[in-house]
Amino acid sequence: MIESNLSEFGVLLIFILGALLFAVVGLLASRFIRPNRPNFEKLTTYESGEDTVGSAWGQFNLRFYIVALIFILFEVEIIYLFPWALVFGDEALVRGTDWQWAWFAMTEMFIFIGVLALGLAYAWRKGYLDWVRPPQKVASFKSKIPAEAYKKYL
Amino acid sequence: MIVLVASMQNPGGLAEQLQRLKEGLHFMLPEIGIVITIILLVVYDLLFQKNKSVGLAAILFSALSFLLVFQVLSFLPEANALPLFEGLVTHSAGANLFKIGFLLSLLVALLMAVTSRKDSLHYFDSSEVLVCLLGVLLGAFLLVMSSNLLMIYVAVELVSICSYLLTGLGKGKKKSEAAIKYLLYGAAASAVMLYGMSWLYGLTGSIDLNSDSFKIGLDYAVVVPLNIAVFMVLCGLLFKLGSFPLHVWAPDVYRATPLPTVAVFSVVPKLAALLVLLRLVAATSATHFDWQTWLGILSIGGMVVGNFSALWQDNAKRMLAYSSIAHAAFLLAGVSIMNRTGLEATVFYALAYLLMNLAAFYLIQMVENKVGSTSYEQLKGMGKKIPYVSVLLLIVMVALTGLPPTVGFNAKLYLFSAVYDEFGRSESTILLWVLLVGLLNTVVSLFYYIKIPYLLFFKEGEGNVAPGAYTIRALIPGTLLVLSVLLLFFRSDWFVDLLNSINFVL
Repeated sequence: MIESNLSEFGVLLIFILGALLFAVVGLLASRFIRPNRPNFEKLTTYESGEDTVGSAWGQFNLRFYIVALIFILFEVEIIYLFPWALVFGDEALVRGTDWQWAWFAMTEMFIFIGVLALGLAYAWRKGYLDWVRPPQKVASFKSKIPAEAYKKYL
Repeated sequence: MIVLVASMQNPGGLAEQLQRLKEGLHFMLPEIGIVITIILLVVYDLLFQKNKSVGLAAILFSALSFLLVFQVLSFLPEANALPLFEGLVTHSAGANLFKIGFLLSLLVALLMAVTSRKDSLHYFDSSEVLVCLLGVLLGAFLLVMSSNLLMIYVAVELVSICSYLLTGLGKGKKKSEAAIKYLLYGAAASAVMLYGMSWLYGLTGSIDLNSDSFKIGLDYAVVVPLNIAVFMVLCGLLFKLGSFPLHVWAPDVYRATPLPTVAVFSVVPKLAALLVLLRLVAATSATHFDWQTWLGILSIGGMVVGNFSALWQDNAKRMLAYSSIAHAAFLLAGVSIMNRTGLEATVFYALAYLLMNLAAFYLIQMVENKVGSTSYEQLKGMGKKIPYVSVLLLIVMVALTGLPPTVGFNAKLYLFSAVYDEFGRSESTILLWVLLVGLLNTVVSLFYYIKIPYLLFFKEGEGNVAPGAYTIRALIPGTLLVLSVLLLFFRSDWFVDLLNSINFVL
């Protein structure tokens, strides 16, 4: 067996340096290779191909966060399920432990999913998932000038 | 899971581990009970639409009483410490004693919530607050059992996150301000603690406080990184202990939160953090980290800041917040003694503090029910209108100061004599300072504690009390708490004998 002289921290350091180097080299290389002819259109912020409107610091509807949180919860759950499925399905382990392992892994995951589902049920039942539209405000102001009057000038 | 995955290649070993795990689950019954109660509460809350308070209260009180009885019955003082789940948690008599204390405090807090006219809807209208309170309880249970850095972190987070929620739930500018402050401080403190733990792991290659590699690794660790690492871990615990210099959140949070929740905050996380701190000190006492000096300095700072700030308060709730900071400092003074007597004195102080504080909050709540506020202005002259509760409150304030004939006196006496003995043995100057500042601060604390009975009895006020007498039902818990505060002065040997038979540090 070959003994490498790197400790675990050394490997970590190499990863960090590698990540930095990758970014720096990539950006520098493209800077030297590319032609540099900026114009107004090129310098605008890219927003899914649409024209940007307003600042990114605007207020969002609070409900976005609730939906996003629930989404992340279940997404993380899925990530957790994949390694579980692999280990759970290991036939050697299941047979080696006389099915104990299968029961253990199964119960554990059902409890986990059950608690998450309860959370979703809670949010649903309490109405946090209902996307209520803000009521349209109709102005009560009545102008003395009739609408036809404007047509004259249009 | 981590441990299990490690032995993945060996089905035989895995079968054994699963067997041990199953046996371990048997000792986790109280925790499992809490989780089941939480789920029941949520399900009940979701199934029914209206008038949920009776059902929620029924589930909660029956579960808590069951847990209390179970915990008391399974309490064996001489039981040995038993590592469970591959050293993640340790079942011990010391942890059990603290758990009984926690259950008691939650029960008292919920009784307060029931009797409170202003807040009972806030607690029993829906399941959220109750679930968060049980979350704090669960976290504290796990915290007093944990003997592994990772478990300590997870338990501290469980307690913290539930506490943030409890502070923020409900409407009001003060609430949101307190909750945000609490959250920011808490997030910073636990981040620092986690970072410190990662250093400890880097130094020792283990996160199990009882493992050999942890001890050996600490022996060989370089002094400066070790000091930094331990100090960072200490930060997170100091935050939960509500102790100087990480106490800044306490007064705001205490003022913004209803009294029953404050009663829980001021006792449960504090004592849980104390036991973990004791364990951490025991695990790292043989190293180059100078616990005695650091804890002594923190303790002196906490006593001075807590007591002198408490003098200037004009609200009973805020006063109790600063008083709890001062008491946390006294606890730290006990931890800094670092011998068996000191340990027992600290635990005695902690449990006496639990009783006194619960009694204080319960009685303040009763006063608030009649008077409508806890500000000093409103308390003036109320003693003649509600004499019985005021006399009880007087006794509790005497106890918090540490004067006879209450358990507070015994607690301070044991603590100070333990400090003095250790000073006589080791002649470390920091202990002398702790002793002097502690005695001086006891005198200072007399002023603000006695101020409340003084306002109640000797000042004239024009405020009115709500009509009607207290119900017997509401008076019984308060009377019992005060009686136990008195009884343990006369028969403190019961408590001391119990503590003598328990090994707290594993």
